[in-house]
Amino acid sequence: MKLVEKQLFQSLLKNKVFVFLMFLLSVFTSFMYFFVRFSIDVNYKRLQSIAVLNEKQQLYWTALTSNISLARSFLFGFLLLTGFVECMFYYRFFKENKKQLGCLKTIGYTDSELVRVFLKATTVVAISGAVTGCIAGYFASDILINANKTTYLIENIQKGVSFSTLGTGLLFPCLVFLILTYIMYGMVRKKECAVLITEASNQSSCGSVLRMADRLSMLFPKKQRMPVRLALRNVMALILMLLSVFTMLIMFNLAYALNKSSEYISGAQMEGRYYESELRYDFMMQALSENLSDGQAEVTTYSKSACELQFGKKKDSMLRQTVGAFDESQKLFELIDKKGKVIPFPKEGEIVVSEHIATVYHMNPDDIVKIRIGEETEELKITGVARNAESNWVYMQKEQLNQMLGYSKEAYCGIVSNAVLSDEDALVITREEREKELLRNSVSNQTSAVIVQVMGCVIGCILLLLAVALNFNSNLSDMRILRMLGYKTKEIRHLLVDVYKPVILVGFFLFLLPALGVVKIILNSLSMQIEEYLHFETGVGINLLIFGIIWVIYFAIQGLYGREKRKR
Amino acid sequence: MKTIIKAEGIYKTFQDEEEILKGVQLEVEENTFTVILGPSGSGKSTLLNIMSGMLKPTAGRVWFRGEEVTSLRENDLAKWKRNHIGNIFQNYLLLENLTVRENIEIGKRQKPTADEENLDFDELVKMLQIEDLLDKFPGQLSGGQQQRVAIARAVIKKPEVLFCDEATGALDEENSKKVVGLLHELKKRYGITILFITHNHQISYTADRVITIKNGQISHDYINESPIEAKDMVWE
Repeated sequence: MKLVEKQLFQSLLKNKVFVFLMFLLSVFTSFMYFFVRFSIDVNYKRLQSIAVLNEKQQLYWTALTSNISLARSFLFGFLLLTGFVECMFYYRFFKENKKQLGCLKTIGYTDSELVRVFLKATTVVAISGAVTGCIAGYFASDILINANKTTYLIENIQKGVSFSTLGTGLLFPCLVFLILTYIMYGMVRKKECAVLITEASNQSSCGSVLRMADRLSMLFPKKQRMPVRLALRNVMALILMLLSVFTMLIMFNLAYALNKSSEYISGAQMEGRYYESELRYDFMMQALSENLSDGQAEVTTYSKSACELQFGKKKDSMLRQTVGAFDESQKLFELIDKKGKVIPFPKEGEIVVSEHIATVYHMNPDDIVKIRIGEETEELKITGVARNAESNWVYMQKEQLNQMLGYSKEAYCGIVSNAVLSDEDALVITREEREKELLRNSVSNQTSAVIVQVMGCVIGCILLLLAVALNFNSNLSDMRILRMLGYKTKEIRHLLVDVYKPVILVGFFLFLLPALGVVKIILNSLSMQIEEYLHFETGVGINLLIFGIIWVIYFAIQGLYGREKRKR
Repeated sequence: MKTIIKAEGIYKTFQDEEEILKGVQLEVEENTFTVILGPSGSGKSTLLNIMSGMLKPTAGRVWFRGEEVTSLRENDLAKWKRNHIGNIFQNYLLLENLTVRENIEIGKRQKPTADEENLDFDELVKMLQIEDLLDKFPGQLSGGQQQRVAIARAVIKKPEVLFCDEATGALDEENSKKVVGLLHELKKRYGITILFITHNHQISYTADRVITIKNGQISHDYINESPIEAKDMVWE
């Protein structure tokens, strides 16, 4: 068996670029998981052991919970990508080495003996990639830990993972890759030796692909038809190119949206707020204290309560929110809609919702929602969508809210003022403090944006490199023959190398809108998980930039790879 | 002489194609050199592949020393191929990443016993005149050298039957004669039964028995009373 292993391992290693990229993707898969998890596990366990969390700890807990699902999403997403590339690798390998495998089967080696060799190879790449990714994730998690320290102002944030996390991050990807290897070996398993060895079987079933490629190429100008036809025949490279364009469109637009979202929310959160300080009480107060202000300052009270919002046709569409209610006549706080117009404060039977829940849960003005506070339930009509609503807040009439809470209409649990007030019984938040907190939150989003951008670039590069490598490898002998026939380098390039330029161009415009759709879905999903609004925004500039980056990467990779091949 | 391998009622149809083999009956005696002649597309390679376990017939059975081979499970079939038969192909099918020595060794029996053992390596390579090539890779060898290495790989296990599919098809006259001569010598020295597919009539003059296949059926089958030596073949 050692000789069989030697033969097959060396055959596998002939595809050095592919194997290296598989290793890289395996590292990346593990890295993205552990990068997040090293900042979670120990701290999550510590918070779980605390009976009552203070406000900062509560926020941190929410962040950790959402990061757990983020880490899983990363693992799942990258496993899909790496798994796809692995399938492609083995599909190509088994297709090109059928004769060799048929020969080994003729000598008398069984399928189980041969598949074991490939499983061994996959294990080596998968485990080494996973361990490398884990180590890299350990060191890189400092970025997230520092960002969390800044955002949540919690000092003793530690680094570490549990055994189950280690198992999930190291062994689970390996298991997935092994299963895929076993499945892909199905191309050879139980195939008769004679069928594997004969040439004809190696070229079967591409008739339909050829016909489709020929038909599609007729849509192009005459000069482009031959290169397009050749490009379309190499289905794997085509899929990789398109996937790379699609992935980069998604990742860069997602990063842009995350970046812009923090700007948007920070800006929106200060809109319509004309007060210098806010006092928050833990209990309802009946009347304003005379000592609170010197009579010069403008003061407004508000009530708030935790509530459940039932919306939509399904009875189980329930959302936990905070309902706030201000005096209608006050001028210190205005609700502003998406277009920048002031929304009148809701009257009895009315409610204003935040842009966050309106976007994520598809709520619109004139929709009817049910609000439940304790045992009391009321039906309210949405009269506005406020972009400057507090995170996870809705707004209703103060009198109606107090009635539902069983208090008089003058009762309140919060005060806002155009002066800096103080009260021993209240938590005081000045305008400056509020602005600082918003800035801290935006740091976290910006960090995420940078991470996503880097990921997008790396994945795009890997996929493009794979596509270029595939194209080159499958055309090398054709290139040599054309050269022998007297074709110039420029002509060979036009015919065989530059064939994917129109593919990238078409792919960009074809996938632009779907990619933006996917970004919206991702942002909505993240919004739901972290219970914070992530605003979607895109622009011509960012997409032009993505267009430029794709071409730069493509030409750089093509240039480097071509030079490498010409040296040999 | 005893029958070593028997094909009974062999039919073969490939997907969406005509019937390639139409009820072939064939018994081969041990320690014989049998040539199967036929034009391209006659079904001779298909018959060889079925008899050597590389392909399953649509109908019919193959027997080896009284044991049915066509109904063997994958592992048992592999064991049979590993220990009892050898294959030589027109395009050699050597393993590119292994040296000549390793290519030969990979063909050895899995678990040799006193009764069923591998041939002596040094004696074999000397006989095939490839002792100076042992550390080279297939890519460094000529066609004739590659085919001799392929023969060594096929016979190192001392198979009882050797299936040769156009083994001289890619070789020139001189190398072809050498290969045919070597095969005869192997048969003589080690008692290996040889089934040789070819379209070259000259090779059939060296055989003990000549079978002609046409349109998927055996059209002629005769014993060669006076086989000639390989070196006396006259190339067309």
